[in-house]
Amino acid sequence: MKKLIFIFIFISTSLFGLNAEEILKIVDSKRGPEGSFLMNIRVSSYKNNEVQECLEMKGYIKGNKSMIYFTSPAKWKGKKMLMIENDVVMIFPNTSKPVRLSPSQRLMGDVANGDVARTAFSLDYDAEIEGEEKFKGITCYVLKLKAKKVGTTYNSIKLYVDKENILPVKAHFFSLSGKELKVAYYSELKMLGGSERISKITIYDSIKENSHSVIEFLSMEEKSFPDKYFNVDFLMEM
Amino acid sequence: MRFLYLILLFLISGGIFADFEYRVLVRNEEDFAIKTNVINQDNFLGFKSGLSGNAKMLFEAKFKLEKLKLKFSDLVLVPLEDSSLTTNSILEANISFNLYDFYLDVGKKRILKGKGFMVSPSDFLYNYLPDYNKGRENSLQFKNGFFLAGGGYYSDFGNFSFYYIPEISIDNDDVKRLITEGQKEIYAGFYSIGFDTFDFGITCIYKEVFNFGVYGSLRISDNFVFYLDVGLTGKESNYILEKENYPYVGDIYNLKEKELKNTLQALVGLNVITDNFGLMIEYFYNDRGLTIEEINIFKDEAKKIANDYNKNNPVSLLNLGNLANFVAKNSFPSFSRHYGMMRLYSIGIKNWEASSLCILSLSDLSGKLNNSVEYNLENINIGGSFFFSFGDDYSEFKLYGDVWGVSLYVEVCF
Repeated sequence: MKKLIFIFIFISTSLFGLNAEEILKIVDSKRGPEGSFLMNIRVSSYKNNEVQECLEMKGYIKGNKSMIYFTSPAKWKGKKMLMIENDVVMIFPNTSKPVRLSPSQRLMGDVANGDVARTAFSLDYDAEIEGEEKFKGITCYVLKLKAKKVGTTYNSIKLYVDKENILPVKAHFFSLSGKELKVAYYSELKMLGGSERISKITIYDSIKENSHSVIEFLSMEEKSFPDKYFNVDFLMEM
Repeated sequence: MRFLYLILLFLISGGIFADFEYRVLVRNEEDFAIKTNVINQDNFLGFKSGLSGNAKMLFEAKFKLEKLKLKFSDLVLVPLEDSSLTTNSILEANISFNLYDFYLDVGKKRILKGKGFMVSPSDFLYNYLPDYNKGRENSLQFKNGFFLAGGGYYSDFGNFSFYYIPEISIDNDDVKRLITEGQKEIYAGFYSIGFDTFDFGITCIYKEVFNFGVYGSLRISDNFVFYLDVGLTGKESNYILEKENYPYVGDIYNLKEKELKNTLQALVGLNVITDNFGLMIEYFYNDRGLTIEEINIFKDEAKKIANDYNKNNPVSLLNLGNLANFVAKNSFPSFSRHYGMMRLYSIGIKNWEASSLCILSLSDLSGKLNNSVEYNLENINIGGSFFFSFGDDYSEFKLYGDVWGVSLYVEVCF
């Protein structure tokens, strides 16, 4: 079925050109499988190109629900982060108090909670094509993404998409006031979840110098999970 | 005991075939506290100032199959003063069977509910004095579970669970250690539901009297979370302290037995979370008084102290207010009706965590200020805290026992 959709998109775009929503759908498919999947992620923060901190986690993704299970280091082991739509709940082992957070709050280094818990832009943002620009010799679509709801990780995103193979290249993230918060670079295609996908996102804070963070997608596997995996009470017992 | 080690062996060997998780925490704590009584600097009440501490080893293991989960948690406590008093406690050892969205639990288990940081009124099973020097959550992970049987159901319209906790009385000291203090016959029912930015839960506990609790939280904006935690206790015969002023003598606290109907404890809080710091503000209303168990501790201590004191001071008046700290240690909060708390804590500073906590009795404006800092290096956490109490001599926190103190710890986790 998915193949048919892509063939349809390919044929229709070959004839009429891609619209913004279609580009975004393809970009999302280059970041993670559609539907339900399990992924292993590593997030590292750097200062002056030296690793400062490194987190490893498993991500259980099902549409707009995601659960991140931290596996390393020992201090983070057993912590869980649940994100349903735009609400984030952090669950600590052996405590009764899940803490409510927002997707835009910092997880570690330059990485926000929503950066690891969401792999699909189209769930949270409406897209429109702003134009075309060259970036490092690559002709890119420039998409303007606008948050569908208040409380999304970023208020708006300027996304550069390689026109030839519809791969995300670069993204500028903006706050509600229009201030640029971060810039992310997408790189390293790798076989993930049965398809070639982006495996590395490098995020630079627009204000802080000499620091950056890297999100690496180590593996992905299409897998179905029961709804209780996204239930706070279940996660406290898990 | 052999049976428990067999369970442990089973859990570890099971790791080869199924999902197995473990966590080991080794923590050494050393506390120095000045417990000088404010009324008499000569320690006439027998308080000891000085060093105390312990080494803790917490071992937790989870063995998970698709429909079965085993959990085991063991705490070894080595007192600094006398290592021959080392105890080994099994905090949790339970089996959980899962069938679709239903589950059944049997064994020793902790059930934690509520939202409050200072105290959690709806958490009737663990509504106890928190250790502010080390943090309530830190203390909770070392708490004993209850022997129970029960189950629950997860659904889109909420999560339900019911538990039966039997009364267990055993004379054998070795086995007695395994039983949680206060394990009386309890019937417990819980409900909780979560929405986008809002969640709430209900706790119903029948333990001689009926207790009803509600808790919930609401994310108001990206950085502000409002929460509440309320506990309503059915009719019980409690004791309250009433302060009376006598000419030439001063304030005397009289203990009065009073039947309290539907006593209420309510906490409201606001958590402000930014990328660099968090600020937690809580207000707590209490009209619970003291239970019979709590007052018996008071009476026993009072007798001992009265005897010692009267030997040395045959013509003096023994002021009950002097003794109140013994009760306060066993039931927090015991005296005031209004409390406030403010906690400022760091977020995201590399390798460091710092917090400053101030708890205040709004009734007599006494309080306790605790500042703590923790350094994290790979799997090692090194931390310390300094606290002091403030207020008038007869105020609640000045009667609390510890005037000031320092606490240090080293923690290694695997």
